[in-house]
Amino acid sequence: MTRELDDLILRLRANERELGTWVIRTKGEVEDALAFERVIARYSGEDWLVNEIRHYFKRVLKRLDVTSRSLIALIEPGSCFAGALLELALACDRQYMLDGFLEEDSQEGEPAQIVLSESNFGTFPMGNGLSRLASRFYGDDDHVAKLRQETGRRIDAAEALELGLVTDAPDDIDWEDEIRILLEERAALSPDALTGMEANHRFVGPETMETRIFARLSAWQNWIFVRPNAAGPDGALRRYGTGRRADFDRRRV
Amino acid sequence: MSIDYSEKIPNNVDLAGDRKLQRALESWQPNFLNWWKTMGPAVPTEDVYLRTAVAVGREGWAHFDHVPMDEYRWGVFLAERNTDRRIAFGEQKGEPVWQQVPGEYRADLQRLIVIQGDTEPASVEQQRRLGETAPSLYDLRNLFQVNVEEGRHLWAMVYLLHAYFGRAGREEAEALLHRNSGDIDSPRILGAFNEETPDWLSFFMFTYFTDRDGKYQLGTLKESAFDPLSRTCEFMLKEEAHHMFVGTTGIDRVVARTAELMREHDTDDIAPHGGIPLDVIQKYINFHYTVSLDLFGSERSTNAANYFTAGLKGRWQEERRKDDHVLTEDAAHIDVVRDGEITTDEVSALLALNHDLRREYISDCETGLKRWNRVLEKGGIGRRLYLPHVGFNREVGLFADHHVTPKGDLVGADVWEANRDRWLPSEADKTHVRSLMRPVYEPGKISGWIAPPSKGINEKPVDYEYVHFP
Repeated sequence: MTRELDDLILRLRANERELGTWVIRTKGEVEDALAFERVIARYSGEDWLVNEIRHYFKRVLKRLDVTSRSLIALIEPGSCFAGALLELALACDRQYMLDGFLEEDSQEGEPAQIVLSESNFGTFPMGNGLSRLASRFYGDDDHVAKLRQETGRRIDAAEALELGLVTDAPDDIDWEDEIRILLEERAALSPDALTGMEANHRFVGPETMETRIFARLSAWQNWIFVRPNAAGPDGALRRYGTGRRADFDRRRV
Repeated sequence: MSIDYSEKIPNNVDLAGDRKLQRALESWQPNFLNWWKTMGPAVPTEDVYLRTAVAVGREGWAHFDHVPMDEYRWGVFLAERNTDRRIAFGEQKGEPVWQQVPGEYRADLQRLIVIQGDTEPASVEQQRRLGETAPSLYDLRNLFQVNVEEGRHLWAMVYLLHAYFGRAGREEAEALLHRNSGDIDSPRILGAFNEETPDWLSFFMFTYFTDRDGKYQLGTLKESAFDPLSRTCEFMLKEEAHHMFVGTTGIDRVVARTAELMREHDTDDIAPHGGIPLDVIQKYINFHYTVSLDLFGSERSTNAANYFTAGLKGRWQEERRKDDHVLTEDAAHIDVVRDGEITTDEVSALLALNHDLRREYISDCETGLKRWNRVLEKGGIGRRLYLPHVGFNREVGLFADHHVTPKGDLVGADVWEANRDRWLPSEADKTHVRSLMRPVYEPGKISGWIAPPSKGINEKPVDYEYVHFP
């Protein structure tokens, strides 16, 4: 899975530059995800293959962190955002979790759930040296400590929202519209401005050599302002106040 | 298209088949009724001879009958859909209209709908106590008709919020019931809707000038590329026409009575004879006209330009206009104050859209003035009523920081203050008008400060018992 994901990220980044929004979903058994993770944890440090797999997944997650695309996680019934796979959602700019079932769905099984595990507290650090949760709740160590006590159990949508683990948790009445509008809203904004905003939201706090090169400093505001999407003849800055809309080059850089 | 009255909420939007909408509207309805009971008309009535919308087609859309007011059938009615409709203006001109809110414009459309929606219940709140001093049953009935229809217009906007704006829309729909006109902590959004409507002259002025602003705002939203908004506003305009009729004929009758008293007593000062002097009518016009001009926003507006380019809000009668409907190359002139003089500036036509709409409004307002002056002429009175200069008494737009007389002269703050009571209703004027406000609830009888209507409602005689009291 890691290899396929890595491959996909690179393909989309290099070949599909106008696809500015990626939606990340998972599908599978939460239990399987957690069981696999236990194997990794059990042999980590002593088995070279297990080590390689762990580091490989860490690097792929880092790739997501520095991807200049809007990343949206949709957490729906039948998904398996648990432990290491929850990192995929946490790497996203926004997480939407369906509260309950969609009416047209079978309504069997469990509604969407997520599970925190040890993997979410430092096993897969970002380029700034922090876990994604520590980045998300930067400066609020108490909350991270509180989350640590929630590991291993299934967290439903309402609770995930309360714990700050997801952006929103619409129910079936709102789900379809909210997701559609959210995606359209993002797609309408300046791609460069989004790249800058997203990089800045993903990487908080400390800079490391790695983040200086790959993270938010590469998309600082001076860069956004000199891009044609801002300063060009049809850019947002030149069109501002005229009542005319900016014309954006949709390719992500 | 007919309206389904078998439903708890009459509608022509297939509410029965839309579970989401049902849940949202049905939970909002009790709150609406609660609001109506606490903030709606204060005079207790048994039933009122009201018009209820029953269909949205061209023929026979309304039904008249005596109805207990809190059983009025508020509901959701959209004008019929034109399946070939295309966007008439802006960047996306020529493309099919939208049946869903495009994500890109969600925030802007929601804002436009909330602002429009906020004015509807506001006027009901402003007019809450007027029934206590109605000059006749006929007028009382008209007041209630306006009130229930403003209530329905609130429904129309709430429908859009519920059907198309998700959770945020539902929250905004609730908030429409929580803001109240004149409330210090949570006032209505627009200034004119926090002013009092303390007497019937104000009411007629409000329905003439302020509801007419509503007509023009609805007219621009009727052009919207967001089709459900367009269809909603189209139907609202139909009901709105009656509100302006109430204003126009109301002022007609006040002017007619004033002229009569002036002739009878051969004096301008008819206050001692129980009339409203012409000067006072003029001051009321000055006030209501200018606060209504403020509702059009600044003459030079980037927001209006953006709304137009995006296709959210068009111009008045957009499709009848003979230009490119994109306006990026056109210019317009707007009034500005420069070096102590009122002059004009040339700006991009896109930036002058509020000004454009206001111009349409002003020329519409002038027809009323002509009408009332004809009444004066017929009554043998030499004096005439007029609209003050657009810069007079303004708090919004390019004249907001200047003092302009009704004739259009730029003056200092001291001159303006010294003459304020000559131009705007003074405390004494308001007190006098209020002193005339005594209810007349006997069928066919009318208060002494206003002439009787020339005919009744829906072919009924003027002395018909339009309102029954408990």
